[in-house]
Amino acid sequence: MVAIVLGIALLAFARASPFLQQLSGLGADIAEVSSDITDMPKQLLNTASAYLESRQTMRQRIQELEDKQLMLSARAQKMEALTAENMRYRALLNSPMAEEATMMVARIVAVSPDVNRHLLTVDRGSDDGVVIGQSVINSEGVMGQIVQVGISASRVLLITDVQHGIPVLNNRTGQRAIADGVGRLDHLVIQNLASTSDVNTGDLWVTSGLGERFPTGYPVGITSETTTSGDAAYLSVTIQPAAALDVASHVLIISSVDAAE
Amino acid sequence: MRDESNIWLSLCTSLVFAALLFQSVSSMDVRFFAPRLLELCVCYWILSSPATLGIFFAFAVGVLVNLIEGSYIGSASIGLSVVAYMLLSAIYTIRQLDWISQTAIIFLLLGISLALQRIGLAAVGVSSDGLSYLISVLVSAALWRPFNVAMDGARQWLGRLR
Repeated sequence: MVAIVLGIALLAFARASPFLQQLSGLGADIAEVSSDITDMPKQLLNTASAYLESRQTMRQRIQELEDKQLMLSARAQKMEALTAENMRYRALLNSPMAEEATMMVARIVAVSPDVNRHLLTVDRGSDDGVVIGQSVINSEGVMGQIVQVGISASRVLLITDVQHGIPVLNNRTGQRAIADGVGRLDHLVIQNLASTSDVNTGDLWVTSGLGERFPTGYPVGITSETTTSGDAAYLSVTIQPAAALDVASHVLIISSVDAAE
Repeated sequence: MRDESNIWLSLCTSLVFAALLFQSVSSMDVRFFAPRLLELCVCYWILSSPATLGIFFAFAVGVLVNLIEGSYIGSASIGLSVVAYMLLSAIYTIRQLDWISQTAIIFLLLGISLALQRIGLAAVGVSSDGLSYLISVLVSAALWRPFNVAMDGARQWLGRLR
């Protein structure tokens, strides 16, 4: 009986108590250490295969990487030009400059064993300057946000988790909404839009920046289905996430300049 | 009658291994089939050493489960404490049962444990996706017999090492 009452008390204070939140962060550290241990045979195999790889294969791979780098740097140059142009337009319109984001690469080291939660553990923690609330993306789009921070690892709540909602913007029409996770990796849902809303299948939804948690303009997903409610008053939109949430191995933890400082 | 005087080394080793394997799942889809090894450890050790390990041991393992899962601390402890209480209440009956019946009992107990965990989480706003968690309970129950054999073997081996 005492154990049950204690369990209920812990559960009730789990959100409010800073001590319990720190303890949850410790869980991320435990997950990272365990992952290092369980990955050890795989790492050893990788190291051994790297030694055994022929010189020709390695040269070929280096060549491929050099080609890829060349293409990416050409793209980056174009991006820089576009950014400068964008800033000039913003200055002309007297609108505030878009905030610059700092990024940090992190490796996904574990997945939460709880089947109802979409939580990942990454190998960056408070020692690396990670704080709760930083957003996490990969090369394709937004993945989630940091919810627990340990010393050397953190936990990321994916946008598809039932507890997650993300402010989004229709890239075509500019309509704002909140996309909620439903516990499925393959879709998010926007509920209760006015039935007159202009939403088509294939529309891209990006982060709107409302709430100042996620930076503006990162792809969230693409409309895969729209459903009208029985009385035709509301529209429900199903979005397929842009980021492949279950196959990524590395992510970027981003924060605004203010947060980084 | 098993020797209960020096179980701590075996206990700690089993919990460390169970925790390592429990969180080693690397894919979201595979999680549904991953056995609940820490919960199996609780059942095994309470059935094996009821004089030493009881409800508060189950409670502590529940906290460990929550830490590894990243869910709210206390949610797994409630379910595991109830499981420990039920095991201790009927320990002599359960020990007399054949393996198939024991497997059915373990399925029932782990199902109750996870259902209570879901109820606790739902109370703080984390809704669950139907009864999909029962798949891992089924896998865990199916592993009860091999788990017992492996644990007994490991304890004997560790006993010879001392």
